[in-house]
Amino acid sequence: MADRVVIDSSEGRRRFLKAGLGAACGACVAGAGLGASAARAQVPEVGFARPRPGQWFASAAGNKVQCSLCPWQCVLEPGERARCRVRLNRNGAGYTLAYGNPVLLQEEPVERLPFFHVLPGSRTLSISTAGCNLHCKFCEVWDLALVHPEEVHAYDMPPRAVIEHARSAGLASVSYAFGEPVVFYEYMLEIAQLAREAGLINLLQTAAFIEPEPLGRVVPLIDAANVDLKGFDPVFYRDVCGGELAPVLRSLVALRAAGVQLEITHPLIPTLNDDVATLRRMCHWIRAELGADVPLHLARFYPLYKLANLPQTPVSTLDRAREIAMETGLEFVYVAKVTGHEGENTFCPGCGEAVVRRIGFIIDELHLNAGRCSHCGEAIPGRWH
Amino acid sequence: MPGRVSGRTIPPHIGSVLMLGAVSQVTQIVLLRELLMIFHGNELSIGIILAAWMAWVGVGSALGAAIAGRSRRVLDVLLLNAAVLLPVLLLTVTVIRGLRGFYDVLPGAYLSLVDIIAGSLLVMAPACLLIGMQFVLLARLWRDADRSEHTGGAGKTYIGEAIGSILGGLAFTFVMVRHLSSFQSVALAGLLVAAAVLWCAQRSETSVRPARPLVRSVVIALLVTAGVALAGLGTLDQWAYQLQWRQLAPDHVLLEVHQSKYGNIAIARRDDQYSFFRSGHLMFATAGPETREPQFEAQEAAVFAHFAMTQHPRPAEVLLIGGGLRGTLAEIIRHPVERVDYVELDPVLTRAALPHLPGATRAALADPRVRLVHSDGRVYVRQASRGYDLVIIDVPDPATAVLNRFYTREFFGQVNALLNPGGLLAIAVVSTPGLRGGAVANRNATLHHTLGSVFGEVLPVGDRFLVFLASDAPGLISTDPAGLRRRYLEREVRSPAFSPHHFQLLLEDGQLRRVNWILRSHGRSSTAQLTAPEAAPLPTPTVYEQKALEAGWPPVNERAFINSDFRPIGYFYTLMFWGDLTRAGSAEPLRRLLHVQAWWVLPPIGALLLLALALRVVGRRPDRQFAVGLAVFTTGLSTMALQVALLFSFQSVYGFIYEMVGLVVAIFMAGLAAGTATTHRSVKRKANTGLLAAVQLAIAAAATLIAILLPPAAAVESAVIVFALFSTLTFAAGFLNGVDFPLATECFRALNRRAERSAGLVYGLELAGACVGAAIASAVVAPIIGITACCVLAAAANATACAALLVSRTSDGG
Repeated sequence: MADRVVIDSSEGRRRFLKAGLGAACGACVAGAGLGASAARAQVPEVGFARPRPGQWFASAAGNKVQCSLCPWQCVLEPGERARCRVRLNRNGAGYTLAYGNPVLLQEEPVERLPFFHVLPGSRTLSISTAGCNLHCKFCEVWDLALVHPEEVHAYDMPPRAVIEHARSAGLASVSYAFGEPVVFYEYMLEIAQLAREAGLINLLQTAAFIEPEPLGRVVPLIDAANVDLKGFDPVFYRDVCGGELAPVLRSLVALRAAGVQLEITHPLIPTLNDDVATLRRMCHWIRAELGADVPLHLARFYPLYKLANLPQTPVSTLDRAREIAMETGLEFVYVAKVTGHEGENTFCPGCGEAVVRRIGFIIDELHLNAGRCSHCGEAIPGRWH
Repeated sequence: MPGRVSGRTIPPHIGSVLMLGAVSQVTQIVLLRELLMIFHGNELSIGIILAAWMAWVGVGSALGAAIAGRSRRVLDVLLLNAAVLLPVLLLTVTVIRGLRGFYDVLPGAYLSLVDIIAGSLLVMAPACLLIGMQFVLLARLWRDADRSEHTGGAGKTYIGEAIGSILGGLAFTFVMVRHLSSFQSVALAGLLVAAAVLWCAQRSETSVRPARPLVRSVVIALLVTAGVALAGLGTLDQWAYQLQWRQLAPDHVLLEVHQSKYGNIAIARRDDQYSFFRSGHLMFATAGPETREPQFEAQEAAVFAHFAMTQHPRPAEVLLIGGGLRGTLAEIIRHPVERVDYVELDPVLTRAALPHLPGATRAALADPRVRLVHSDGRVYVRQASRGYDLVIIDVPDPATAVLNRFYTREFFGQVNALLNPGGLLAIAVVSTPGLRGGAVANRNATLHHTLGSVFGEVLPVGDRFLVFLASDAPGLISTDPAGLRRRYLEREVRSPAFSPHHFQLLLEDGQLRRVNWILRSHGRSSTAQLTAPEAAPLPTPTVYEQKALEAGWPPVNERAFINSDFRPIGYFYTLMFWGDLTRAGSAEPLRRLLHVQAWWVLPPIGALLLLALALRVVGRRPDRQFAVGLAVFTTGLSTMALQVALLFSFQSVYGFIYEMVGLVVAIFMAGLAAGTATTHRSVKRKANTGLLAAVQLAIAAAATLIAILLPPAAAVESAVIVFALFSTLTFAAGFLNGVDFPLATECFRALNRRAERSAGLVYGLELAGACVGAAIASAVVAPIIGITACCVLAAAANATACAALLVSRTSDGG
């Protein structure tokens, strides 16, 4: 893959100012008093990047470099870009283009990611750069994850600025989410360290397609993780997600073993991965290898991206999947993206009463007392404060 | 003996020629419909399929010319051709049904452009080659029957074929689509053409050798076998559909397939979910009558309906265009409305869907406050006299020129005129949550700015499903979840699919600010359509602040961000978005077309004229051949460019009435036939390049006149006058193009001395021109530069041909 020229940031800024929007925006922000926060006003620029030497690169013969961050183990010729679109060989040295240039930076409720067992009702700062090391045909954020950094607008946000932004907005956590944090590993690691020092908690939402060693390095900084387990069939992973199943399972075990508060999201895509037997096997595996108390979100598929002509998941399919998951002994099985569904609520495994009632990302009722069910006192796993 | 009318002999091959026209029209429609099930029903797919059709028919006519020139056994060849055509047509339909199996593609995924091009070319080759050959062979027979050396036979064949295709088109639209499957339609067409050819072979009084008895017997045997086999076509049809649906939507049960003139409607079931497809394209999925909790299947529709309904303080009179079957209607009538007029295009869809819909939707359709009107939404809005408090437009995204009519400035203007004071419009499209891609941002910003050019206030809300609210009443549109919630509760609406919390979810502040910023700020520079949209600054101003800021921003780039009937850019952006979504696709190749400028037509014109001059130096014959060839090519091109322009304008202005569109095509073909007949009868010396040049000039002048007349014609209020105007313009365009054919063919013959080669060449060149014209007019010129530019393109093309002809004439001083 050819290296693309990253647009020089000053050029991008000049263009933007030319359009007259930057000035107007600055005036507005000052006038409206929104700029009072510690974070300075940020005007995104197209193709903005801060190329910098990356970790997990090793030199190989012929001026090549090998990236050992994820299981692809890309060997890159000089000038070549890795599958993730953000890591490259620059004259024999491994560089990342996903550092300090988030494409997505937004505040939102943690339930939206979804984290159902972490600080209910709290708001988090989500952050993601361009790029992904998988290629899911049902990607919801393909215009962010499956593009080169040159193609989209990015904010100039060094790690410290991110922390500043989160703190000044009074947020409790930083989430590496929506895109794929594995590909902005170095950036995530630095922010996570600073966040830990600043007393913010770190939330990781990932497909977990990463090598054990780099994962091991970041895990101590992560408070909670939601892993997209997209299927339980290696062929599905290969054909529909452009990845491999085994490394994801390995990462799940590692996260759990390290004591990270773990949740799993499993999209149910009609005809592609909603086979009952496979689902049952997956639930048994989760129970045996990770524990019955790991929350599982069964997410509804809506026709999008490359699968735009496939009908949405019938709710009856989700209901049946939820029943199967509960039958196998999983204690917290949720239905995601069906607003108002009973499966959005958390039920106490002890007494069966609802401890958290949700509608979408809104908390309607909360019956938790210091992490325990206020009906029966049963401990509910999670990071509740 | 041949039949006699008023003492004049009707040659037996007329039947074959008419049949050829009819069979090619029916086959074209059937194959197009079948292929669109596999591809995607946008103009690009249609253009590619038609281009492949014309290309192969052109090659076929060249082959036919070669055979007719060398062999005297024309009748044998024709008979065998007709006999082979029937099984080939049946096989073609079968192969198309199973075509997805040849691609390595996931269920639910769109095929890429390369797939569509390769598939169209491969699948249609055999049938088109045979049909193309028939034209030249029949022209030869006609010439022999006339016992002449000139190309009059070709001219007559051309007229006969045009009339046959009108008949075929009408027969398909009014009869075959309702009563016959695709297999039955092509089988009937194939049988009729074979029978006509057989009759012709029996009766022919030409100098070509009579058909060999063996060939005749074989053909008769084949026909009889085919006739018997027709009984099994129903089973074949069912089998082929099952095969197709196993690839399109595996693990779904294909319940029913209905043929409607608007496309093939299929209903597939999976568990208790019913999915409705039009032409293989997912329209919507709903819960079934047996679903225990049907509310969640139609949640998107419910959210749209309640959000729109609560935006108005008292929506008593509501107009809903589309969407009623997917649940929107059932949710609307949960509010205390007095009347809901629900406009749905296709009665076949309503009838087919009804038994499979959840109880709430069926009850809604029976509600006394609801009036179901089967009509085109634009026709309805144009003719409606009563006012509405709220108009909800729930039609598919503007993926085609036809759908794009619900997203143009003119249409929004008509809707605005229908709204009562304080009224509101709501419309929605599929989007991406971040709006980062150029295609989707361009399309949605265009929708925003187009609404903004008509209404005083516009508000986009949502993420994956993006709702636009528009109104002229200041301060009516609300972004306050609490206020909307209060209104919802006060009306005591009870919807299992919706809760008052939804307002908060929908109007989540961060998303609302981001979406508004992107759509309001995008499209304000001359090159905005070529770049990714500006992302929102941090912190993002509130919607209120953004409105204040807008006053200081540069104006909207109207050329690229206002969707109008006469420059339907909206569907081009949707086409780009579709490009992003196809199997291996990206919007990049289409994005490049956005650079197209009107002046780009000048360099090719210059190059062609230079070439004409250069050839003149070489000698008399090559430059004449080139000039005549160019005239034929440009006539084909302008024929299609004008037809696209007229059809687009007609559809937009008059409304989409399928029969009317068929009628417009028929009028065009009638003009074509009349033009050809006129030249044929009245022009004595047809091999006259001066006359041909004059015709080119006349076409150019007519195209210019149409360009000038279209916009004022569109503004005329009376539907009758509009129709009369369009009919006249359409007939005139067809007539002038028809005049061209006999002249050009005879000019070629004068240069080449071979009648069939000339006819084949002219037919092929004209088809090639038509291919290019259809493709660039519908997919590029109309949406990017404008409908009138299609006419100007036609004018420029024919003017160039005229100039080239004049240059070539000067070589012999003539």
